Amino acid sequence: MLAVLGLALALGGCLKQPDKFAPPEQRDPQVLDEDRARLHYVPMGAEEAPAHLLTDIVPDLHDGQWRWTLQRPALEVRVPKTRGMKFRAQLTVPEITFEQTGPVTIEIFIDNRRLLERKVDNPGEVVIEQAVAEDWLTTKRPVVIRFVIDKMWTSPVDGVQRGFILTGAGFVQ
Amino acid sequence: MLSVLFGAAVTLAAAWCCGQVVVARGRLALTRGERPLYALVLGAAVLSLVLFAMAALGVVSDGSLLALAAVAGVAAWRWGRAPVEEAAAGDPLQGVWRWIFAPIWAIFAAIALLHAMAPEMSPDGSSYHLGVIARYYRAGGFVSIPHLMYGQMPQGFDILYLMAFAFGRHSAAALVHCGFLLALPWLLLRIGQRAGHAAAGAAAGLLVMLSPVVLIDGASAYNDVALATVAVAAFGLALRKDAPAWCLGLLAGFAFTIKYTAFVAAPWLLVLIWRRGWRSQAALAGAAGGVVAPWLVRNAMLYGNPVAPFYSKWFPNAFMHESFEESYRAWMGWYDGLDRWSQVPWALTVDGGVLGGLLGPVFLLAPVALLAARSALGRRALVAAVVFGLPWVANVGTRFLIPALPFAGLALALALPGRVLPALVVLHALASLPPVVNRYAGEHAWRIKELYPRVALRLEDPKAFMAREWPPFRRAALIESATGAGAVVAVGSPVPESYTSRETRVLYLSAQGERVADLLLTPLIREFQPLHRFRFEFEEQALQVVRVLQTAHGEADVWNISEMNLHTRDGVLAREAGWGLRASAFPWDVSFAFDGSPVTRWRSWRALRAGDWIEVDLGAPRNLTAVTLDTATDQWSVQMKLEGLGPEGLWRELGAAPVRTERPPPLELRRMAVGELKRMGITHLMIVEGERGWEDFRDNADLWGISEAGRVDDTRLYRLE
Repeated sequence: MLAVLGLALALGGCLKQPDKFAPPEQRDPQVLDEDRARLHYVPMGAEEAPAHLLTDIVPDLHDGQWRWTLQRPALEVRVPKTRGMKFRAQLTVPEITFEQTGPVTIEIFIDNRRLLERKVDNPGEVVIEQAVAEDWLTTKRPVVIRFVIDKMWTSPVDGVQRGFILTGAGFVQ
Repeated sequence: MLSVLFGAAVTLAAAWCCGQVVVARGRLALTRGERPLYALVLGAAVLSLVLFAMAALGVVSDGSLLALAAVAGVAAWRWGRAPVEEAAAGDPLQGVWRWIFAPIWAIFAAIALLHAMAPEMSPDGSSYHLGVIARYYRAGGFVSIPHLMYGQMPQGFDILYLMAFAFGRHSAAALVHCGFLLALPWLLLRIGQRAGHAAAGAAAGLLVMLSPVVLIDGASAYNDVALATVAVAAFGLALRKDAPAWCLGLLAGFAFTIKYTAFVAAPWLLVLIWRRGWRSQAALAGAAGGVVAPWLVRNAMLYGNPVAPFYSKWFPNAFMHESFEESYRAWMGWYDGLDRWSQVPWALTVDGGVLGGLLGPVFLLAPVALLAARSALGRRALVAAVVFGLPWVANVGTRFLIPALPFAGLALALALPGRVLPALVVLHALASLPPVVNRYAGEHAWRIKELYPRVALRLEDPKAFMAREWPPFRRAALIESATGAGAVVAVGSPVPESYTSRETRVLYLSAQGERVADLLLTPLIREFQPLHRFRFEFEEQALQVVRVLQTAHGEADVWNISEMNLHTRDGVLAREAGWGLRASAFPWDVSFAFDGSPVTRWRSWRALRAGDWIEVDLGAPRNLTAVTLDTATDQWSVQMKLEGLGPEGLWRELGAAPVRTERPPPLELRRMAVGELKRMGITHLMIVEGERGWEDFRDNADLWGISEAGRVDDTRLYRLE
């Protein structure tokens, strides 16, 4: 058995691992997002995010990931294709606002066309995904996404108003 | 049917002929009852070696296999007939045993033979035991099968199927294993007779053979029962002082090449012959090493790991991941459905559903076997049962106890009063009849549920039978009919590959399979996508080598990087062919962090280890200002720092902790994943309803770039466009 073990170890010792590899053939670069002026989906923590915000989104970034909204937050995105796209939004109705507002309703519009309405009955994170018809989107100009929340939270300390927390919104596949 | 019988007969006969020569050369004094049994087992070890040599040389064909059988016959006639001393008959079988042993054996032999002759429908036999052998047969010898872990294991017994398969295909192979099943009770009987315990030997033989899991395993193209028979033959020879140590070594080595878990055979036999002196010990070790070495060398050459597919941690290779091995060990060490150890005795002996088979209720008496320690034979049997039972803890499936079962059975028979043994065996026989087992065993217990004599006797076409009765065959048939020669099909779970000439890639049974799974899941699972970007900023400086170090330890996360980019003050540095990419863990995939694709990624494929690194050597110093890493989010505990090697030859830490930003989910991931599969040579994808993402493949075929090539039952076969 020791001999067998010794042989195995000896064989293992003779085996040579590759020293290094060269960079491989580069995949289709046009699908990468590096050079795009506008993203198809805007994570609030993305470096480019501020350039996509239109109205009612507070610029301050929290935890590197999210921003407060006001009542009618809007942002613009650019889709490189229109087929097979889904709208996606990741947002949160925090405990602190929910205690005051109770259940809220959020409407979502794509270029002023009403996509859906979501009633939020409990505080917490909400991920909304919905397929979008091809003719709702265009590749020729930015597409505007607008949210409308029916109830605003008012700070009892300083009277500041807030809607909900937005982590990201846009179109995915 | 004749071809089936011929394939099995020629293989068993060739083994027996080789064994005749070994018995004669070893001057083993055997009775007429012992000689064919030991000749079969010893000869199988020799035949296995010869077939290994032929497969290694790539000279396997119908003609060469027939020639081998003829040479074995001539050798037996020429060198195997040397007169050997006829030993005393030993303790004769007496009393009721004369009336029940052979008839019970014959009834269950008929059951086993009918099952073996029916089309091979066992999960492992039809998929990899014969799938691998079928590939060797088509190729005329060994071929590298890096994408299937089972193809990397030594096939010391399976390679005997090469000869059987050549002439009689699947059923002939199963019949070869069945030959060892039928020999096992007789071998135990002869051992008992020689030790003066004929009744115990007879009882042990039947207790083992009739055990439902032994019966179906031995009647299928598996190898567990063959291993048990080899172990028992080694036990029988080790009890004799005149047995040459090299014969024991031959069997110990053979056992190891049948199953790695039988590594215990050699040290066990060395202890048994310890008093014979160093010459005998050396002969045993030398013979065992001689049998084992070819397989280790083959694995080292084909897979970069002499003990492939295991111990990749010790022998890093491109074909198996450390993380898979850890998961596999955990998976095998405790089966789903088992909540606590106290369930194990019932699960092993009566239910069999959770552990993949049952030994039979009689083995609930196994603890009584400890009383066998009163006799010398009993003590030896108990030790052997423990030795061959120990590896079972690594895989608690019932059939992994089969090598220990003959010894446990012998000890049990020695422990019980002689007068109760016949009744016990008769009860065991009744409880082991398939219709009876069906009444108490768990629904999913692996066992012979039903016999199919018409198709076994080839009164019905086997393919038509399987197409009607067995959904996995319909999947294999779909692959065969809907794809062209040379097709490579990625499958979510194994298909009976031995029934198709196309290659399959199971999504979890190799490094390549796991990579395919990763590619297919990345578009579906956000956590797999490169949604984080880490940016290390530092003062512009000339650097030749940049290295990212991972500093967290011990967590189960697997460190991974989708893209690593170096930045100059003018932007991203274009990659150059002269760069050297390295990684401390699984370096074979390091280029996926430098390919420009968000669907591929380098993964360390092992739990977080502080000090793991990935680096790029630019060949010459370049002025750099930053390094960015796009990574998936499924690595919550990873911590990284950056180091650089300057022109002065000193390593230094670069910048502070990286700044993390978010990235959007990349588009076109599905199509990119399929593109990567095509780069790997995969042409088709088979998905069964219920497998992860099956609905997405169905609903978004155009986004994936796949089209349905065929459908059967709940299974769809897609062509990669």
